[in-house]
Amino acid sequence: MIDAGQVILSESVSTTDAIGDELEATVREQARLVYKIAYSVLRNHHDAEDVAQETFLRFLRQRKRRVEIRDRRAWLASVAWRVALDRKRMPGEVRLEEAAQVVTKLRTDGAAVDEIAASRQMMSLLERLVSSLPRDLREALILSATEELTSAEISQVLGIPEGSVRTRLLRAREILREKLAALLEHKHAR
Amino acid sequence: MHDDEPDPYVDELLEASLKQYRGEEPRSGLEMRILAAVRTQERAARLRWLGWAVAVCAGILVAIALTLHFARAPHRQLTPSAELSPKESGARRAPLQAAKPPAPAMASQQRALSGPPRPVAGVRRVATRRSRPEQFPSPLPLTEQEKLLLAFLEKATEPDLVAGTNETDVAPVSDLEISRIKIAALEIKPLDDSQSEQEK
Repeated sequence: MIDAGQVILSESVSTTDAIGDELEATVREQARLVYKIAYSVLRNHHDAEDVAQETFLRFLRQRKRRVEIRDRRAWLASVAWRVALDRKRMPGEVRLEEAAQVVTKLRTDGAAVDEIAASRQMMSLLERLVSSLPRDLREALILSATEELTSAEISQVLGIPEGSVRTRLLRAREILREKLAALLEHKHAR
Repeated sequence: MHDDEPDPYVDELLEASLKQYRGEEPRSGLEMRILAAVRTQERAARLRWLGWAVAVCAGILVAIALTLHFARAPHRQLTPSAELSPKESGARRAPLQAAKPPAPAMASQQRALSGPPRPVAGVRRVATRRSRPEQFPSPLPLTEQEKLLLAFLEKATEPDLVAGTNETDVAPVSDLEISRIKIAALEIKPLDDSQSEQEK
């Protein structure tokens, strides 16, 4: 079944030149990846779409300058990552104590793990914990959380060896678990 | 709880939260919105570039026009005699002098045809723009009468010319006989009294 959006897309943006065709094909293939990387950094739909547009605009200009892009997917991921980091504002202040209190209450009320994880308080708590990580660990974890990039692609985006990516991911998860456990146990003990 | 005994609930909660953390799927029509925005911005950038290109071209054209204008200006101010060296002026004036006799006649003819004479500045401007003629004004072909007159002048000698003229008109002043002027004596008659009374 053909999506209505796809019909409008093919009608409204019919391209004549090769660059236009290439752009359209690239957007179709990589828009989701670019968006998710931007969203993982910015945590906002509108900002993520703006970053996606900016990324593809840079891609179009780069192609017009006839600059060779070997790995298009990795190139787009890198650009989206840098543009999103440039736009990232300081996260709003989240009171860890209050968020942990709400999560503990949900647990005692017998809420399922998935239900607690989907709650707004748990998301705020996790965002605060992630933003408190060291920068190198945080970047690897954010890119990994998109579940769109492999370790090799993350290593290309960050410009580090693939083994370092795995090490950083393990270390980041370990720190998150320790902090989360400390918060919940502290509240549970009360 | 001890640190070396991880809480399975915390691990489970962290994994579930990280899955949620990856974010929602993009809204439908993402590709269309991206393509539309990219093309709009690209078109705007192209128009901006076109505007600059037009402005630069216009500037270049104005500069060329000004350069040509100022390059021609000094030539207009110079008169033909000022541009010629003494040698050249002598060589060019010879045909002018040779063609001098018919000039008054032709000048009168041209004046009759073209009306009042133009100002000298206008004549100079035309002369600099077109190819410069050897003689100015350009001679018109001679009329039959002028041709006959020239032929007569070439053949005739000076005595013939003098003989051809009316001798009475050119008689020497010393040969003229002037009769003596007679001046009558001045007489003043007395006034008549009867006439003066009638007038009163």
